[in-house]
Amino acid sequence: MSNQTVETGSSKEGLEAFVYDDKIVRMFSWATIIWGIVAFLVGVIIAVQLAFPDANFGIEFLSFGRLRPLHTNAAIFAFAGNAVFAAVYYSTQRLCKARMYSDLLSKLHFWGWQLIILSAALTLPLGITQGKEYAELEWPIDLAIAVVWLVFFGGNFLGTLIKRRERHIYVALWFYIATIVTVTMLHVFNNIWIPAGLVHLIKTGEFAGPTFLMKSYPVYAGVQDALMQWWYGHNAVAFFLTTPFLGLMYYFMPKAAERPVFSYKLSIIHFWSLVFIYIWAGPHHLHFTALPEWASTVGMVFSVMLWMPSWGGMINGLLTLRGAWDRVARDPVLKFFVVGVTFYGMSTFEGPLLSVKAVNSLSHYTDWTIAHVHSGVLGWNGFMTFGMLYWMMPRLFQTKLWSTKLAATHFWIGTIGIVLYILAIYTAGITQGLMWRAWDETGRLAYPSFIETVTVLIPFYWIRVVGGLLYLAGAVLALFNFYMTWKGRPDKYEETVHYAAPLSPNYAGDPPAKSRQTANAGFGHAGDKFLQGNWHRTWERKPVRFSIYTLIAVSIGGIVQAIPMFMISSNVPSIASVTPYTPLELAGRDIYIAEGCYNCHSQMIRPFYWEEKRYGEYSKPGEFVYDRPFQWGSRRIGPDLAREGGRKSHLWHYEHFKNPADITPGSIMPRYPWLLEKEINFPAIQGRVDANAMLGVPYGDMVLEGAAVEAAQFQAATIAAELEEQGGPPMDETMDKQVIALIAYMQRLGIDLYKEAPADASTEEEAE
Amino acid sequence: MADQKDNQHSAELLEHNYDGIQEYDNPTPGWWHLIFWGTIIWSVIYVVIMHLTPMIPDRYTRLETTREAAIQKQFAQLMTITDPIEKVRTVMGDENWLAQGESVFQGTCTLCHGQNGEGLIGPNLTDEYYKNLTDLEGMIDVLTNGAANGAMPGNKDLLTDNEIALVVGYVANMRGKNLPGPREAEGVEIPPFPEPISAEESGG
Repeated sequence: MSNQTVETGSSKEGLEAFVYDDKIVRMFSWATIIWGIVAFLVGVIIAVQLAFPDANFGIEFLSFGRLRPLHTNAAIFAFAGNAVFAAVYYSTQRLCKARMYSDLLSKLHFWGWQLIILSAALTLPLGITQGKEYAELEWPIDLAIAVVWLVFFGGNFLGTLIKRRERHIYVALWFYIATIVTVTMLHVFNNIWIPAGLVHLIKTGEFAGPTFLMKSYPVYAGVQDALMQWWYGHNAVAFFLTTPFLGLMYYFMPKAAERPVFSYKLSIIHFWSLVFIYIWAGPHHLHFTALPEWASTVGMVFSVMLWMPSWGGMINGLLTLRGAWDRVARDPVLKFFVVGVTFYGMSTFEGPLLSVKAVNSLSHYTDWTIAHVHSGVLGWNGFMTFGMLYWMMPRLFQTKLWSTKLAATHFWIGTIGIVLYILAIYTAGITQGLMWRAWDETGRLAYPSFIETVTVLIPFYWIRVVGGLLYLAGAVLALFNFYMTWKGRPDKYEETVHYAAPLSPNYAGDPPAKSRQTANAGFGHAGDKFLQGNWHRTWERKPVRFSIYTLIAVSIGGIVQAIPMFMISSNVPSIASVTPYTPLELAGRDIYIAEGCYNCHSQMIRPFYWEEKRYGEYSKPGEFVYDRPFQWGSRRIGPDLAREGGRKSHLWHYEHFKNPADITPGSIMPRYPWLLEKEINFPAIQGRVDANAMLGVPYGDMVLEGAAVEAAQFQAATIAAELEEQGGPPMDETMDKQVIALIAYMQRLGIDLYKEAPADASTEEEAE
Repeated sequence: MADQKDNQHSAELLEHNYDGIQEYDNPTPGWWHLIFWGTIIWSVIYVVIMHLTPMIPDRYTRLETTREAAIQKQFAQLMTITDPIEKVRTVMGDENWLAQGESVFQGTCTLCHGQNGEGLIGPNLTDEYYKNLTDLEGMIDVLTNGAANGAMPGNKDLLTDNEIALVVGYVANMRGKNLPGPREAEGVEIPPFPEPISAEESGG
């Protein structure tokens, strides 16, 4: 490595010489802007599809349900992810006065992460997905993420902290620590699964296709899966999109503004309150669902308490600019930062607001949530990233930014883009929410047919497209600006050698705090010393201990919520008439997941009069015990499907999948012609049933070799025959097609509640 | 970077210096503490009121109450009629009941029978021809239990008897409008339905 102790005799006696690794930062920076453009472009494409569904050209790989996860994953893990890594690699080296621990780990981290993104870009359009939002990537990629994140990135980062030459770790590094520790925890616990395809291959030696080989089922089902998923999903926002960006802010904002940070004390209190409280807030994504109400309340009150810890970051950011506001007018970097931090403040006020149950009953399942996340990601993550890149690129390329004017243009185009986007979508969300719940004094829904509440949104969807295009255009300008800046780089980058003394093992300790109290009161002196934060100063010298404390702080909320949910059966009262899906229905459910239907359809009727009127009896926790993964959804671009079973004929579904707009004029659901052509993967069905049986689903004799396949074929023939009777195509043409499996699943949704309990259910009842 | 002694603020700079970044020793703003503690106290009060006292009924009880009230408002008159056919005829004779029936029809039936009953996947309901039924009793049965091997789904888990009466009345009232639809007339011509009971007759 490049560190050598300077030889005795030189003026730098006892100092070590080192060079920062800027090459890795350049690589992550390029990846950031390039993946950012990809993420925004896919976003624009799916935004167009919402207003004009045929924009998928009838190609299955471009359909909304498959591209939407690609868009969210690209925005979060590719764009924001690479931005975080660029920020961490640039700032950590400087804050630690040390080169990264290992150049090899840095390279493995970079290329490993880009491969993960590439595999996401390939698998998601193919319909290979876990069907859980922001955790869509299947098990082999999950494993790769765990290794790249924890071993390559985490190991490299911790190694750098340990061999640092700066005694105390700065607040930016606290936030990076929280990020690495917590994302590891979230990722691992939300991705515990049985790889059904692999197990099937090992057990039977039968290879049932590459897609099935990638298939897994989570160990959690229904309510518990929902709790784990939104514990993950919410805290992915917290610890992937918030804490690392606060770290980024704490380094790059004072650097760019050349002003000291407003308050060290505020840093301490808002860091610890933020990481402790954030983790509890997940259940606010599940208000009024089958999740028990106590958990929902916990999620809500902690979200409200999270308001000030979040704003602590905003205050510390904005007040750092005191005395530098004149420069904000001139410097695009600071403009991006100011607007970025302001959007952070807005989003973190809106978050607690949306978590209040009464507000959430209106906003949930509407575009309001979509507007909220976009003000967060486009405004906060996007603008902080662009601010950082505009500041860093000239330094990385050791030249001047090619055009400051172009950067300012980017700022204005981007800002107008965000405002157009979110205003249109706020309006759409509130409009739709109000239409859904409107009922008159005679108990009648004002807008009984769902389609009315969809067509009214189309103009707003077009405005969103324009907003998204503007934001994308801004990012293209940035890429061009960076490219031109790169062209102006020197022939050879100058590698500045820095000198610093290694940390001596016998540090005398920080100067003790002196009480500022004059009165002679022991408690007063102790209290005043505590408030001066010296105890925290000690922690800042011990990064490993700091990491452990952080892990403890972020573990508590999850433990308190998850353990009762898993251990106490009254949280999910069982329903005797609810039985496992038949093998064909299970295969159909997996098609539902693969097509990403959950991106537009919920399966969760909330206990409101107007929801019962529209969709049927509200959903009960016991109805989901065989749902792996749960498919409650988070947005109703189309209607809820929780009680879809038996509502319509097979023929209706068949024709509707062929072309929804033929059945419902104005429908924005895409066509699914491939479901009518592609064959059911019958051999894989045995593997699906076996994996679920391993997880405790009472499949009985279905696990005997070939039994599930036979049962599935029989049910498929039955449905195909009924379809023919109803006026559909001849059964020979349809009985082996995917659409039949999907219809089997649709017709099963929500009907168990009204069935007689099976005769052999006595054991379950006794267990109650 | 900044001066050790900052003219604008009384706050002192700490000794900290990380890659040139310094930190002020400013206290956390008072309003920050005020709101933070305020949200904590509010949370405790909320939990006590919502979960630990019987002051606010839970969400299922609240739904129950709303539903009861709505049903009373909506069906009070209809509920006094026990004979199902009389119920349907009452609906047929009252504009308000027909409007209610239309609302249920819009939410439940249009996806197969078309926006105005002109037919789509399911048959045209506005002509003189009917499948699977020959009278109003038959229509109530088809709506409740379905027909034709699932081509017409049953609604017994979805709609109450009163709602079914509303829809039957509304659909019976469509007869003879003869709206043009995409399908040929299906089934057989059946005897006319019984006359509506007008609002005056029923005393409503």
